[in-house]
Amino acid sequence: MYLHWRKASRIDRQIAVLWSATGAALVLLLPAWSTPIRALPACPVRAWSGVVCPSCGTARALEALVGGHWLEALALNPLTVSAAVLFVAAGLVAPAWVWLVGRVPSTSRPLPLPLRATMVLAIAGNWIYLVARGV
Amino acid sequence: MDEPTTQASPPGLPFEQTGRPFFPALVETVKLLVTDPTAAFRGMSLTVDLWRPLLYGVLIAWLAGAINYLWGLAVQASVFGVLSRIEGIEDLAPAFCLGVFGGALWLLIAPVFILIGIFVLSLIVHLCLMIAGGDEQGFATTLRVVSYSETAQLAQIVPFVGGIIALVWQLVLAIVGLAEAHRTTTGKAAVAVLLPFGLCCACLVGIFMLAVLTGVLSR
Repeated sequence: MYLHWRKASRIDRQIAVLWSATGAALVLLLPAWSTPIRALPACPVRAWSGVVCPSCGTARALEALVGGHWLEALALNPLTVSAAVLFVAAGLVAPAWVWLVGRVPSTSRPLPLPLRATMVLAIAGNWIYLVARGV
Repeated sequence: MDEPTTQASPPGLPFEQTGRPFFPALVETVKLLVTDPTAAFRGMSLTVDLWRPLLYGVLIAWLAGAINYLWGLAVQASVFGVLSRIEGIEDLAPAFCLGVFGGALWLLIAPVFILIGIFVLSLIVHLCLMIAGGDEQGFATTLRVVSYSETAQLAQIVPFVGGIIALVWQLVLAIVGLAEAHRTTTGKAAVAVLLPFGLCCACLVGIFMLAVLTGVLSR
């Protein structure tokens, strides 16, 4: 309904290549990520105020993801982990998709209100989950 | 993955125009983005290949990193020089050399990380722009704006506070750029740029503090 398909342009192909390269680099550098992730400081707002923010648990979730503990990662921050996995997976198939299928998904601009509301609800839902779970 | 809806795309920044010498075009683009960012982003091409803005962003951010590295070395050298005169302190040359080689190695691989950073940041900002209802152009336009907003990283030439200036300046450049390039309101552009800070303020504050602390310690 809100999504339509259009012919892939030259710029789309460039984005697909870039996306793929980024996804591949993230996967190839996977063993190297755990050190900088561990170096991240604990959430200062959480430490000072006790308030759980929408991104709380992200560092631990990414560490678990890098360590191959998918379920643990998902439980720590479902939205961030889903987005990260989707980003890498979609990036890896993007060039093949653009060249073989030749069409890319598109929405009307600006993004229709129901889709914007869905995105806000996803962030809010994830936040409520984090607060309830005490991540 | 989208393409701009604009029918007649602007002529493009000096760095985007083919046939111009590389370095003069780079310097001219930096000048334009520093002195008149509104005109620069208004004149930015929305149809030229993405490699040019990306090359610009990576190059400028890398240069800023190199400047930061050299500042760090200069301060480290002077601190080690003072410390080495104190009796009882062991030879600090190996530690200094390790710092020099570690930094040089980082500079060698930094372009890959800068490119990943620009792409991921553009994606986050564009998603926030979509939420704000300001995505009048496609993702490619946001990617161009984020790449050119890396110009602000040159503020790292200022010792000690350069990182903070660069951060604030980059936010301002990105807001101006999104508003001009997407033909949207400054308010929506500001929401797109500042919303990630609001959503993950804690983590960003933490990372920022770590970056400032690391910057101070490295000097």
